[in-house]
Amino acid sequence: MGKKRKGGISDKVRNTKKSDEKKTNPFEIKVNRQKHDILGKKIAKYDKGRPGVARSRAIKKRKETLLIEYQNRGKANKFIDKRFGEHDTKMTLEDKMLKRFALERQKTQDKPSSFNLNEEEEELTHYGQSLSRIEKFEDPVDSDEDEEESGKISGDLVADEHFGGFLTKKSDEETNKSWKERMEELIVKSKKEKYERKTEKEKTLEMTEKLDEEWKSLRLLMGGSKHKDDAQAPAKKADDYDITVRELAFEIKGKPSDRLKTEEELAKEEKERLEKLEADRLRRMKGVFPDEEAEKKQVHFSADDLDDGFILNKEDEERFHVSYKDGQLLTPFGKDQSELEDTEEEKDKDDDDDDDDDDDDDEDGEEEENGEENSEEEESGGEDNHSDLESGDEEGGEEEEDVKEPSKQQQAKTDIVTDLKKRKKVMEEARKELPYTFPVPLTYEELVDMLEPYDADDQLTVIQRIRKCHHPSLAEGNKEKLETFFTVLLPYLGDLASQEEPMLKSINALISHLYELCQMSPIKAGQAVRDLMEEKQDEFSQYCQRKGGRGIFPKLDMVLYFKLVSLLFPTSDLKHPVVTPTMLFMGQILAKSPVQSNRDIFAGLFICTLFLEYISLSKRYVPEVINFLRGLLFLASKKDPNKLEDVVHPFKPVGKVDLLEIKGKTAKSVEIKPFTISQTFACKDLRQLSTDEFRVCATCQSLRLLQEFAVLYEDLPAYKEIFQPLRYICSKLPTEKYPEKVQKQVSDLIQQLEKKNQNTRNSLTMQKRPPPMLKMFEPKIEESFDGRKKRGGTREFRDKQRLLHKHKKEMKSAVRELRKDSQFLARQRLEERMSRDAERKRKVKEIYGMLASQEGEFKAMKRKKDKPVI
Amino acid sequence: MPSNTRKDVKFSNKNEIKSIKSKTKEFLCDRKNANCLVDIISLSESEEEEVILACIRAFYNIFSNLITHGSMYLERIPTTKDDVEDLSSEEQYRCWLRERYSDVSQRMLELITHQLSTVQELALCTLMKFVAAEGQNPLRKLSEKHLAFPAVLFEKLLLTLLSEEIELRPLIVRFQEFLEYDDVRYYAMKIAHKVLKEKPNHEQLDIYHGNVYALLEQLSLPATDEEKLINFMTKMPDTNASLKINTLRDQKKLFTSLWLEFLRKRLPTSLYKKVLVILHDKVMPYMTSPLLLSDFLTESYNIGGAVSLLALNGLFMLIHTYNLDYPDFYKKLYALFEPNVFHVKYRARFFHLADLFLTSTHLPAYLVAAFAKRLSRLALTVPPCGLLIILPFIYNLLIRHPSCRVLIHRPDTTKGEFTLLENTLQNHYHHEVAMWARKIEQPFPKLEFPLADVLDLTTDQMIEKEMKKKIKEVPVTFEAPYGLLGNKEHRLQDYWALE
Repeated sequence: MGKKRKGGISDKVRNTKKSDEKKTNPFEIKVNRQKHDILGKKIAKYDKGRPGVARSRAIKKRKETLLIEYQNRGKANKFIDKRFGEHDTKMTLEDKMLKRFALERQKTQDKPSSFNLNEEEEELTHYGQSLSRIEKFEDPVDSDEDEEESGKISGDLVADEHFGGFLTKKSDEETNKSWKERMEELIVKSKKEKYERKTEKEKTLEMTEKLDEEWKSLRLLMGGSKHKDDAQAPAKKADDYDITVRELAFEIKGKPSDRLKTEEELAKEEKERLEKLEADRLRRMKGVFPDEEAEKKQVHFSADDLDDGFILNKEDEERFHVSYKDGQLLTPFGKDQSELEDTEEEKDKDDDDDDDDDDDDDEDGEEEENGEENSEEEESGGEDNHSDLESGDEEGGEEEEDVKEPSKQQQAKTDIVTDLKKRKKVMEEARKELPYTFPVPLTYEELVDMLEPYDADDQLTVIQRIRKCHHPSLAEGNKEKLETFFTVLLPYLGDLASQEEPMLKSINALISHLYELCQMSPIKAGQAVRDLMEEKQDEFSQYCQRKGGRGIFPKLDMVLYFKLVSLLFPTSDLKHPVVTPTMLFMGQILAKSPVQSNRDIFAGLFICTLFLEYISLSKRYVPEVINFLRGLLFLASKKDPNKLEDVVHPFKPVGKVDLLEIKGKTAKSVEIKPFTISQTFACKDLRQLSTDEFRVCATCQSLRLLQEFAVLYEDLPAYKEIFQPLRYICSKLPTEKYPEKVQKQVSDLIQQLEKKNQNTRNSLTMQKRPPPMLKMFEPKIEESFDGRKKRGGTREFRDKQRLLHKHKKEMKSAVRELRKDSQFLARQRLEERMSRDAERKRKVKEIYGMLASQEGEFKAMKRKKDKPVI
Repeated sequence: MPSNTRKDVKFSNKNEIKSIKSKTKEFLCDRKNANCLVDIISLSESEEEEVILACIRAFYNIFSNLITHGSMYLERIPTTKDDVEDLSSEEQYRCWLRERYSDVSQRMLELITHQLSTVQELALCTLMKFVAAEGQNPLRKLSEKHLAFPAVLFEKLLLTLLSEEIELRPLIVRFQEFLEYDDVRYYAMKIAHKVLKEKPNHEQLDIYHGNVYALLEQLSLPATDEEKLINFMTKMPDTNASLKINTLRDQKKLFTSLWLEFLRKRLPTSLYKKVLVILHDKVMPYMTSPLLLSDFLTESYNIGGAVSLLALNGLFMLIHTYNLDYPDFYKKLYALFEPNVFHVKYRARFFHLADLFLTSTHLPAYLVAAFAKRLSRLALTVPPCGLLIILPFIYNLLIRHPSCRVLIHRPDTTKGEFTLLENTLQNHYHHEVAMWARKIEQPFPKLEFPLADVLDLTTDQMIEKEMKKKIKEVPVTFEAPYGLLGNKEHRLQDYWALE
């Protein structure tokens, strides 16, 4: 029956398909003609249209949706017909009824069907396997092994036991036994069987082995001689040719020399060395003395030891700081007191030398390691330089040793005491000594904690060591660590500078570290410096807001950061992520901060000098500096009390305007010196600065700076206009009071300013707009055409255009649809009305007809009545 | 044991508040408990904030109740002792209540100048509620023409607000919600005008002027064309009658005379500036004739500096919308273009207005050219944020007035001062300025550059913008420095030494 039905359905489907493929009437097709045929263009979707079909489809859709809505417009309830296939027009009534009947049946049958065993369609499974398959024993397993492994009981036992063994006979005995007894029996039985099987298997195994053995011996007898010949054949003698070939093959092609060590290896060695030293130091601190032998082997390596054994021996002789003998510290090497003092002196001297070295190093700028070496030298007592002293002493020491040997036993007791004392001493010394390895501080606080116990020089050594221990080639995360180290060092620099006595020397030495760290990872360093600038600038702008737009000149630390920027980054770039904001900040300071004290003048001059440095290569124009210097000269000039001078913000024509005016009668004898950072910025007592000497120096420096700027800007077309007000101010300076040098400077500057601009001003012409091109009729050929039209504008613009276009399209189509909807509804209403009217007409007609017939009948009757009965 | 005492105080406060509440209830329940009111009045002398607040609330409960029920209504107020004796006991009680009421009002007026803002506010609001209640249910019989507004109480209140000793600006701002009512506003203006006129014009009145300014600032007339005003807090007067209080025109008149009176006073500079800032926006539209301000504005414009800048706005309003004929306007505007203009607070406003003044295409070319030249000369001294205003400003002038383009296009002569300045800026240290300066060499666009964004630009914002830029690459110097002062080519060494 099912089959029959199936066939019926498929037939129907086929039939419907056929009916779908209606022959299209050519008159119903509207072709959208393409104006130009373009090669490679995608064929438009709407090249053909069937307006009739589309219209009827639209109407149908409206009938399904809009019409129903219209019909239900006053209704609140809805009747939903859920009968199966009620709205399916494709089904015949019979089919519908059948299906409905089936569904009804299914509903009642659904639940019990899961327990219906007769149902064949459902497959029973066990462990995911079909039961039918299992029953078929398609994959029989080896029962022996299976049983052994799984411990199952053999089949017949089971057959006997399960379900009472069905029809198998049982003796009365057995039936009388209790359940437990029977089970025990069963177990014993199965165990026995198992054992038997096992022994049998072993037996077979034994047998096979035996057989094999026998076979082997037999085989030997059978074909043994043949094999022996093969094995005992004498080796052929290699001829000369072969030997030479092999020799040639094995000959070394090029001898490797001692390989140059890579940076990583060097760094690794260095680290190892430091670690070793650290371990040593720790051991000494704890007071554990190494064996003498070990001590002898203990060799001190200099930081820049080349490992070529050159200094090594010498060092061996020289070093004495951690050698002990018989509990006797060998440091003095048996020198007498005077000699000791001598070395002490030398040491002092050496220290001085070291300092000098330091400076030299900075100037050399090559060997960063020197600093470390120096510090080590200091630790070890600066003995490097008196080998001559020691070479003699060495022998003496040895002699003494010899002499001491016999006395050793005698003085055993006293030795112990001294030994203890010495140990103590050594421990103390070791404590004083710097550790060799440090972790990288991750925050500024950590750094401060780490550096706090040491003095300034040692702090630098510590920094040096941190950098060495974490060379990027040593471990994976070291680069990141050093990057954070850079960010931590930055505030440290500021800290050094903002101390009461700025530690300029330390800063000076710190610069090279910062420089190298910056070189290592410029982006991170740049980010760090910029973050710092941002923070400082925030502070500044907040201060400005509080003070109503007036700023304050920065302290030494900030000024040094500005300098640092110029040291780390190239300042001549047009755009630089760090330098550009920094320069803006500097300009802002100069433009916003009123000069109120001598310290402000220093800071301002320093920034001006920095600006000079920043732009000395690029020659860019910085109006703020010119304004500031003009203001300073104004402060120095003679002022007419009745006239307000024309000055630019932040200078004011009234108020504290005599900061740089010479107070004394004359200041001719003043000697001009460059300012020193330590004196000027750290000066606590500002009155100390308000001397004529300072004023002359400041004026002189502004003049010099102006001169330099004037030279730099000589080529600017607006040179004259820029420096015009300065010429006027210069003429107002009380030159007669200045020393001759300054006087000359003033006159030089005026001369420079009056210099005619050499390059004549070019005539100006505006750039003409190119005439718009005429439209061409030739096809526009694109060289690489990818099938899409290229539109100009930015991405955002294009996106916006696209969306606008889409919106317009949607809007249009929505309006069209709405219009069609209303048309449809109007039509519908008209139809309804027509039908209503027609109905009415019909009814009226009917009634009329009825009435007419009634009337007719009535009349007929009447006539009948009236008619005289004849 | 400070904590202990505090606890005690708190405890006693609680008790007092409780008693105040219960007494209020008792008083309202039964007339016999009239003395409770006296107790509450005496309690209101307390120092504790909570107690005072509770007292004020109690007063409000009691008197609003009394007023709305007409329990204090008296046909006439007895003046002599005999009169008092004539009264019935009921009337005597009412008299007594009236006396207490005036006591309470007095106390509340004192509380307006209390140091705590919560107390101030509550006192003010409660008093205003009294005013409203009295206005709805007058305490005495009124003639037809008389308005129900309790002017006496309100005058006392306003005079307290316009204190000479204490700055009450926040409270006056709070007062603004009552000034929405037409009658309150009318009386406020009337009283303020009267007081202001009486005050001699001497200098010690800065705080007072500040308070008056705060009040004036809050005043705003409804922006309708309706002549009749209907938004009243108290009982509406007969709508048919045309009174001063309910006609917009009369209120405007009062408003104008009040402002003129105020502007006649000698104001401190900061206040003066504030006045100038709001003048065009909050005052002129409500005046009967804004031209009355022209004297004041002209004077201010002649003062110079920041004041001139601010006066500019009002003056422009007068010229533009009220046809004020102001000779030499552009000359004076030209004079305002000086370097310091870039450092004042109102820079954005100034340039916005300047842009507006120079928008007219009817301006003669020489005038516009003069401005352009002046600006380019200024460009040599101003900081970068100013330059970013100046350059688009000049370009806009040139775009707007093509006849000025001779400034930059003069093939026959050899000297064009103008562009040389621009050329100089092409070497400016900030790249954005340099970029803008370079635009002069390119053909001008047809549309003007938008100025609105750059007007407010500060150096801080510029720096922030630079800081926000993503770092893609950081070039570094390739020469290792020898120390802090750098290498030989670093110029710092010539001028500074370490130690």
